[in-house]
Amino acid sequence: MRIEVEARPSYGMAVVHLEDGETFIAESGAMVAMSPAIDVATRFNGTGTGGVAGWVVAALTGLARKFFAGESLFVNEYLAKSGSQQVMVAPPLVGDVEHLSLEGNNITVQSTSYLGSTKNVNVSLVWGGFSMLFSKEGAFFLKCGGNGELVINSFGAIEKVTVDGSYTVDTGHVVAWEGDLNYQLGRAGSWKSTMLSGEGLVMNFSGQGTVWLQTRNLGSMLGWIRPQLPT
Amino acid sequence: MEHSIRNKPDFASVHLLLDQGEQVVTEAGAMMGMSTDLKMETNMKGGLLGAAKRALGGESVFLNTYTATSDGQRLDVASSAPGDIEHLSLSTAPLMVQSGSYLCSTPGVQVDSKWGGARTFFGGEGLFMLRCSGVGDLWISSYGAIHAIDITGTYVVDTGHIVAFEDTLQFKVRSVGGLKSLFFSSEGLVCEFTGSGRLWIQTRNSGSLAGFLHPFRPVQSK
Amino acid sequence: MNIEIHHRPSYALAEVSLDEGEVIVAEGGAMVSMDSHITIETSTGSKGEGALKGLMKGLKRMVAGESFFQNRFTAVGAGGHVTFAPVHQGDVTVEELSQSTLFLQSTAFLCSGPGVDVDAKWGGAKTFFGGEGLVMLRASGTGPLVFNSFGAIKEIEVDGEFVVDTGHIVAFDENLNFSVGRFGGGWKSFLFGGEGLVCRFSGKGRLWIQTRNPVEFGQLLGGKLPPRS
Repeated sequence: MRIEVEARPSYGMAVVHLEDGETFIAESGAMVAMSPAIDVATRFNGTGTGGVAGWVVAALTGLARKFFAGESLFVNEYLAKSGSQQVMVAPPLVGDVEHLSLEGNNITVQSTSYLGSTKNVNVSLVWGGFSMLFSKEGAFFLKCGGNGELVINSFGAIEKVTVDGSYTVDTGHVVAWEGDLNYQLGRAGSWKSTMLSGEGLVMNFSGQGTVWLQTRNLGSMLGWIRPQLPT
Repeated sequence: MEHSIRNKPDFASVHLLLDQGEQVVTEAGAMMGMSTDLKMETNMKGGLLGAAKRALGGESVFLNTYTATSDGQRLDVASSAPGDIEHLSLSTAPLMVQSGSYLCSTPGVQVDSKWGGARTFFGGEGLFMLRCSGVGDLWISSYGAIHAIDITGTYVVDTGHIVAFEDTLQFKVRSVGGLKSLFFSSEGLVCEFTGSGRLWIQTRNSGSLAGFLHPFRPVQSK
Repeated sequence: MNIEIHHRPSYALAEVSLDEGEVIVAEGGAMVSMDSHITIETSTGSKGEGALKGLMKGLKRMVAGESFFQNRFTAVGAGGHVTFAPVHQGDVTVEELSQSTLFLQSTAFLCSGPGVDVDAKWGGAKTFFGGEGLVMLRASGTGPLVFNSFGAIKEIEVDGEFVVDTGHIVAFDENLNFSVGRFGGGWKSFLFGGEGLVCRFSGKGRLWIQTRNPVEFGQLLGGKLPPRS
């Protein structure tokens, strides 16, 4: 398996090269193109261990992901039936795509930033805390861990920031962060500033680790285009 | 102050390093990330009257002022529209800037929305032309890439593509008129520039994007 | 005529320099700027074949989602230049047709020389997109064809077989065989797989794909905007 990302940072697309028997999982709707000898299976985007009980757990967690995290209800599993096959995947919004290799470490990802992963990456829903309910991004994140490949996407370009001490980020610009970092939700400035300034919630990160930011914010972009819509 | 722009022209972002006491003014909602100890204040720039005018213009009414409390504090700024950012140094000549393109500036730059021709450029789109003068740094943003054109003679531009132009240029906004006006992106308005000076255009038009998205909106149930 | 593309691949702009008397045909709404030697004529693309035929062609283009009128830009009195931009963010590229044919997704057409004929009513035009308001145009003749993508353009040399989600098709050579069908095999994939129609290409030829899908993008953003009346 080999993953290459093209057209960064504007309209990133991941090209996943698969050998016979290898599998890649991607969000439903992400497929751009693929070679002919690939089998596609659609399943619930949830975690389950098999059997009827497993199916129920998968369906429930899938629904939770859909309603709380904005994830799609289904994922597609692409299985290569011969060598040298490719599947190309891309997100619906314009922006960047990045491939990360996990080696037993954890990366927490904003729910709409998950694009795909290999089967040995464990993806679980994480509750972000009650204050996060007030953020436009929702209160759930996806914790990805294990040994395998993870592909994330962003709205805008991805900027990596190395936190050494503390760093404050507008929640709409957060894509992912390394598991070891701590964060506290806060407001930029005083409460008056928050209400009036257009800055919503911020995450105050502390510790050592990488934070992945996106250079655009969907809420701001919608605010920019809205006054220009025909009535 | 150190400044740089990254990710040009795709989804450009401005990265600033401020020394103690240095200040930057930004439009609301532009902060992407910052040093935790950087001080942020929200003001209604230009008092109530200025704020009301900006609201009419579609500019956010509030501007944020960031002040560094110690040396080497960082502020990372992003615009709302997919596209480019350009840094301009103002000293002698004023610059006309499309209201949606103002991103941030140093406090020495005055931003005026009251000058004579402000409302003539854009029809009903809620945009207008700001006049920026004074001495300092100005960052402008765009939808699409920013393309600079040095004008000598006459040049015609669809108004939806104008980002900024130098005060030395004469301009005349007119309607293309007739059937043809249906097919130009900004309600048939073009601007004819004459004289000598620099014009910055953007290679995409937000009116066209709005027109493309419109049919995908949910339909209001009666 | 000289065509230069600036700001590839993210927000490309096509700059056309015309010698005196030369014409470029562009879809309505594409003009960004032009100098004083350019005159514009709104036409239905009849190319002197008679008024009725011209009107028919215009109507076909309206069905395709292209603007009804194509504007003809002519340099009069001296050479001139005019710039064009597409609606969508993304790339622009030029192909020189030489008595050849290219199939082109309808939102991808930007401008062309007057010797290129654009047809929306050929047999397979409506089979690619399942009623999403897009059709596949057929561009043939001689001269430059300037087309755009939503997202980045990727050119693929097909030699064998290749499957593409139809919303990601920009253009393809006429000598490729194609067959449009549902994604995956089963009912579950079709209903829940999230992909719309796919096109299976076979043979040898060039295919241009785009890394973003305009309908998917429109649906995602449109759903988050205030309702319309």
